Amino acid sequence: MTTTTLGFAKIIQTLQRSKRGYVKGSYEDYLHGILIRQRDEVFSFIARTAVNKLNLFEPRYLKDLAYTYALLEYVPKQLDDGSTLFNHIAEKSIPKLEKFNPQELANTVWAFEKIKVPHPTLYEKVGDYIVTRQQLNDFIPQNLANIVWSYAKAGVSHPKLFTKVADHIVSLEHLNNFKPQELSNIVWSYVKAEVSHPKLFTKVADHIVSLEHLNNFKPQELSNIVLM
Amino acid sequence: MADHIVSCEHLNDFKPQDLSTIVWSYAKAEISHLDLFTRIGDHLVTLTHLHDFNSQALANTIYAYAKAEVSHQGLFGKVADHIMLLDNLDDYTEQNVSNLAWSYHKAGIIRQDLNDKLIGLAMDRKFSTKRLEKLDRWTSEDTIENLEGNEHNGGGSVVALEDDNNESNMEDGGLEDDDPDVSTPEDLSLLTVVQLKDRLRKLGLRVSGRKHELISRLNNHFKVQDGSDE
Repeated sequence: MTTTTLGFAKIIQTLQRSKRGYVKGSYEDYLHGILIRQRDEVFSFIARTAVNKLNLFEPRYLKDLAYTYALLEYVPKQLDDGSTLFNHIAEKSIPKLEKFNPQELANTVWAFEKIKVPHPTLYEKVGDYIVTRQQLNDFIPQNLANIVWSYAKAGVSHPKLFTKVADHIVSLEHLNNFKPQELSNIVWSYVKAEVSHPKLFTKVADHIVSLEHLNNFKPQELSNIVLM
Repeated sequence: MADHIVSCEHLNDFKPQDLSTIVWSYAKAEISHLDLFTRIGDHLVTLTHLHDFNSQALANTIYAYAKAEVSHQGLFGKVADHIMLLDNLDDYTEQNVSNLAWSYHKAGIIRQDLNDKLIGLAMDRKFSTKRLEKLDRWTSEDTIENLEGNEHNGGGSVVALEDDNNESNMEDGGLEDDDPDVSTPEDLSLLTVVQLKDRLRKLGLRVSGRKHELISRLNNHFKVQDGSDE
């Protein structure tokens, strides 16, 4: 079910990227008709149906479901009992956080922020769980950047999480795997969250400063140095 | 070292928004790193133009240098030249204009042409009287001269001019209106086979197989030890 839904979301994203209209009767026009013009109906139906089955959802399906709505930036309407799909996703996710892998953790908090449905308890529990982990070696740069960005943007304070993430980044041998946007979002997040971590800032700055030096080397020259 | 060759990046990979956010963050966190500001400033000066910077990114960048008290003449000159060449400043908010005027003033860099353009804009747009008064102070040549005179005498009017109000005014601007967006988390199935193989290669993993095999190989690589994924 989440696979289908995520598929719908991706099709909609692709259709929305095209600013031109579609030829009447074409394949794209047809998909546009059912998925975009009836988007609210489709995704409200999916929300109502999914809620009753969430107990069966493994972490990655919970994450995919939240991620789908976030991709579309579509906030599911309130259900009949006044709750929302995202409340239910959070409630079902919290008890099994230790089964979430880093990407699932990162994408889940990202999705809640992206769609602007704050859930401080989920954020608190995800933060607490990450803090209790021995190390963060299985978090890729994008996971780390998305996590601190989500907390900073949502205005949810979790200093221990920020310290844990920063300590981890500082402990890395180098920051070559971090993309520019990830570096800038990370430093921005610490400022926004008002968490001071001078060593992190020094590490990031030193890395950026070092980039241009390296730019003077051609890869061939670098490999020569290694061989010498 | 090997990793570094594979992912060797340089400042050209940084988008204007990234650079602007970075210097803004360091200035705001009050972490001084002269090398970083110099490197980024030098890089910006070497760009052929600044058309990729929107008004917010430019205002934030200049604000960051002024706040961090890094006087980069080349950068301030380049930004002023860029703004002077623009046909209109429709994208510039009241806050952007204010931040720019304050920043040049704080950095002690006088560009009368830029000041005139900013003041002209403020008058056209009918900025509030309070804002206009401040702009007038920051852009007035007399003020700068007095200020310099006092500096020679060891006077404290430099500080006096930069009243607390000015600073807090800047804080309003900051990046609030233009928070950086974060990249959408990775969905490997959206990548092409070529992109997937590139990722695998960089990680030193095998690159053979069908698309779903490549994806699961990448997922397995990053999987938590005790994860529930297949």
